[in-house]
Amino acid sequence: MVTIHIPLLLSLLLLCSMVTLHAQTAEEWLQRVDRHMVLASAEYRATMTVHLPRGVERLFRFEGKVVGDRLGMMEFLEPPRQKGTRYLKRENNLWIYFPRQDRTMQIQGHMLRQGVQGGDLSFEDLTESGAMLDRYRATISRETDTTVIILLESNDMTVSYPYRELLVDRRSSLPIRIVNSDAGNRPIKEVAMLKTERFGDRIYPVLTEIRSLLVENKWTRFEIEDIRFGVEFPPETFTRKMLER
Amino acid sequence: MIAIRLAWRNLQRNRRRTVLTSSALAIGLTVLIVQLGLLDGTDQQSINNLVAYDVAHVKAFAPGYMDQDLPGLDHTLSGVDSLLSLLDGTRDVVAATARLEMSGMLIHGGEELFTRVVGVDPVRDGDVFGTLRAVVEGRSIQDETPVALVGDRLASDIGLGVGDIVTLLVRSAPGALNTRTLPVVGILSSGHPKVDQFAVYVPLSLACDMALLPDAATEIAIRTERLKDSELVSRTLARIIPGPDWRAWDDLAGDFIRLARMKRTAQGIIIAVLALLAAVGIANTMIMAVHERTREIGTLRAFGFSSSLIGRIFLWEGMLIGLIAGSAAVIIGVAVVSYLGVHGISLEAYGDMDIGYPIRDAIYPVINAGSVISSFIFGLVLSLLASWGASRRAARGQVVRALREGSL
Repeated sequence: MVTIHIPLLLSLLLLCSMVTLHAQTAEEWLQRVDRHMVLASAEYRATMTVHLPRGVERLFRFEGKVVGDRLGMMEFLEPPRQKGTRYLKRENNLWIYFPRQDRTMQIQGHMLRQGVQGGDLSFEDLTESGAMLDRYRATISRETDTTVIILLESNDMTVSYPYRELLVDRRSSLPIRIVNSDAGNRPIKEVAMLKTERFGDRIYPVLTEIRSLLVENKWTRFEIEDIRFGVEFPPETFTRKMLER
Repeated sequence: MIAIRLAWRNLQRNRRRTVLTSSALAIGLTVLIVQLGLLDGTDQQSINNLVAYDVAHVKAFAPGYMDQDLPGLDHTLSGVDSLLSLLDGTRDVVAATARLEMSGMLIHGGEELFTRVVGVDPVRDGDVFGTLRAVVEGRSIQDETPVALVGDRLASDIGLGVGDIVTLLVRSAPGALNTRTLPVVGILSSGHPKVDQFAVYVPLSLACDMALLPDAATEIAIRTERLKDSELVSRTLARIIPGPDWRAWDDLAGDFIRLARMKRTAQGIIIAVLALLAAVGIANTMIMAVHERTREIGTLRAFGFSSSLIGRIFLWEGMLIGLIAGSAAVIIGVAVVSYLGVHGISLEAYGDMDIGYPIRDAIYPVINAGSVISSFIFGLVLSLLASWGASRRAARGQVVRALREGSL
């Protein structure tokens, strides 16, 4: 005859649930975030609205193709002045093709990280997608029933933001808000995921706002109109020939 | 002597024509003198600004730095302190300093401007550059305290004043973004647009911190005894301290030198056109004189004047026109250049537009004795050449035909 000891059973259940709660380490959370955010390969069409402090707003529409953080191709569709301008990224090199002048310019090193068209997104941001787990050490700072705050510290100073704070939604495992900080851990940019959509088992932000914490009233809004994941690109997609076609 | 006397009298016989012909040449020569003064002044001002605020006499860079279209922190000099100590003991080097320059954003409230952040050595920089002495408001950088100096045009663009707090955002050498919030302690006005409009100066140690590059610099700048020795000193330094990429000022100011050359070529074309017009005027006057005085030439020949003397009389007439015009042009031209040299030619109409020269606000022409003398000689030679044909024609004339038919 087995005697069931109710208080002991309850204690065991409570312990089990606590173990489950804490089973998610910071790395695991980051892994889940990366699973949603990292684009092994994708093709998208998007608009970028750059809002400058004096109320000037610039709208850019473009389509892009990305293969991880190695290859990327982007082409402006709007405004008419920029139409046809293409960016090709291969490893650490970036080429820009200007159709009006039929000229290609190569950008290297630090220039890759300059903001595009005065906005807060760099050439690199628009043409690559890398895993955060590869670049940062993660620790959990705070947890609530619905969110987890993860602090990221880069392994070196080669990333734009060596310190980041991610507010991750427990349910979707997607960051709702990211605060990007500089080499001295001073916050400089805040990224808010304003709208997400489910694509199969992946949830991906389709409307993102990047707000400067240094310049009053300056933000960039990035809205994805259409995106396809896991696209197989022909080998010539990311070549100078295609850039200058 | 008789040729000169007769030539002078002939000129006086037709005063109005002489005045008109001389005036046309005088105007052309005056324009030439003023233009040369303007070009000489622009060149002098540009070179002064370039050397005092930008390229120094000689500079050293890390290999590869100057090969980039937009130099950044990808190629920097390390071990700067030991390099400076080495230079301090080198003959021909009067002073040396290190600078670290990088692109960045200057942020103030809701304003954000692209800028060059320049780290300067508070102790050494003044011995090579004039930047730290160009403060017109507030004070300069005196030590390593984190403060900023801003050019007056940049300050006005972003609404900055002494005591305001600004944020500098830069991309460090490894790639991480870095910011610093600093007080503006001084406003600069150097006359060089690159300094006044696009740069923010901070202590070198702070720039190194922001770039995450301790004891590094993007350049070592050197002052030599004389500017004209810079090429030689650059070559000497490259031999005794191999490694860095040594460059003399004229190598670094290549764009300006090319532009100056281009302007001189364009000016040469204008001068050629002016000279042609003036020469046509003189030639016309002289041909008319020969034509009008055909019988007179015949009479002179009948009195025993040789054909070469007749020719010389007309040559002297042309030369005297050149002399009168040249003298007037020198007096007027020097007066105009002197006046403009003091009051300047305002560049305000150009606003912030890049005129290609490292100059802003005003151009101050200078009197260059060489330019004035060469303009004067040019006027004489031009007159001589323009009257050559007429004098030959006068000299070649037949006495009998000239007296009987009135034609040579």
